[in-house]
Amino acid sequence: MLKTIRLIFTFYKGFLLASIIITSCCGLIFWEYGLSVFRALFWLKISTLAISFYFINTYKAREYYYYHNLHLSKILLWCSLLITDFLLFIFLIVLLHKLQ
Amino acid sequence: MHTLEASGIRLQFGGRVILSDIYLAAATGRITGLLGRNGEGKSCLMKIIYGTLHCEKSIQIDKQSYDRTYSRPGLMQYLPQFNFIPASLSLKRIFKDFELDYDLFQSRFPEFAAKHTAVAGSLSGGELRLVELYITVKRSSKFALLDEPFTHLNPVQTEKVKTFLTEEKANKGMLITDHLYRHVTGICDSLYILSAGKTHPAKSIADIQRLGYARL
Repeated sequence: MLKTIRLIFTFYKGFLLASIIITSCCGLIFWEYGLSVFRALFWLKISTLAISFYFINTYKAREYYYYHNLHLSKILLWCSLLITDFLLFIFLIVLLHKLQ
Repeated sequence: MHTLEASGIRLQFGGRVILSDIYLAAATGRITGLLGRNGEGKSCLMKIIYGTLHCEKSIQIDKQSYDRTYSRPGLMQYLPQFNFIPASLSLKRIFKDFELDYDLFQSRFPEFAAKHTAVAGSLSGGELRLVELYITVKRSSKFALLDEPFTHLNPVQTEKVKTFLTEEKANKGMLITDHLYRHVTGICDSLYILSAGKTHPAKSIADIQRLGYARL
């Protein structure tokens, strides 16, 4: 189990910097404008996740075989990454809302 | 002893039939060679057996059918024709992931003695290929599919790899394809030629020419 989590995190690292930048920008905008921009930020986050999916599938597709040889499927990698990343985004928004 | 049988495979792209009449068998203790011209579908066939390319097929290991052999631990490892290790990973981490002993690796390939902490992206093409080949073959599994294992290797490395594969076949069945066909025929126990979407068992070296793969 720990090994699977470590491998998923390795896969996530290729995407982490872009994710941190986008989530931080969303946090700053939410802090400035509040709940009124939440819907726009939600769709911005979804769109950037879709773009990231496209770029990783295009430019890092060969690396999938590293994970396949360790018995991790593409579906498991992507579901884990997307759910984690989206939950972090929601967590940040809720935290900022409470702080406000 | 474990057996692998691939049959009933039909693969087509946009109406063009790539593979249509395939029968291929491999077993523990044997290296099975697969030769064919570019575009005949050798890599596709390996991906179909591995389970990352979907089509009509029957893949049986020990008489049991599988769809995605890669998802079952201990069943199948695959060396694609391209580099597949993420460039940022160190050799230490790679060997940890694949549950392999680095000391055994460096005793066989001493040129890696001081590279335990080197990342994959810093290795030369030949060194990286050697690491990929080693982890694919050494990882515990019933079968290994090797697509162009000799690419980027120098002659000394190639000879070492041939010895390594010949030793390792005692532990698993292997299916190998490479355009350096003399290396393949030099170590394989049985050989298939892929031509016009069909597999043809080659009984002798002369069959390679008869089936149009190479001029001897």
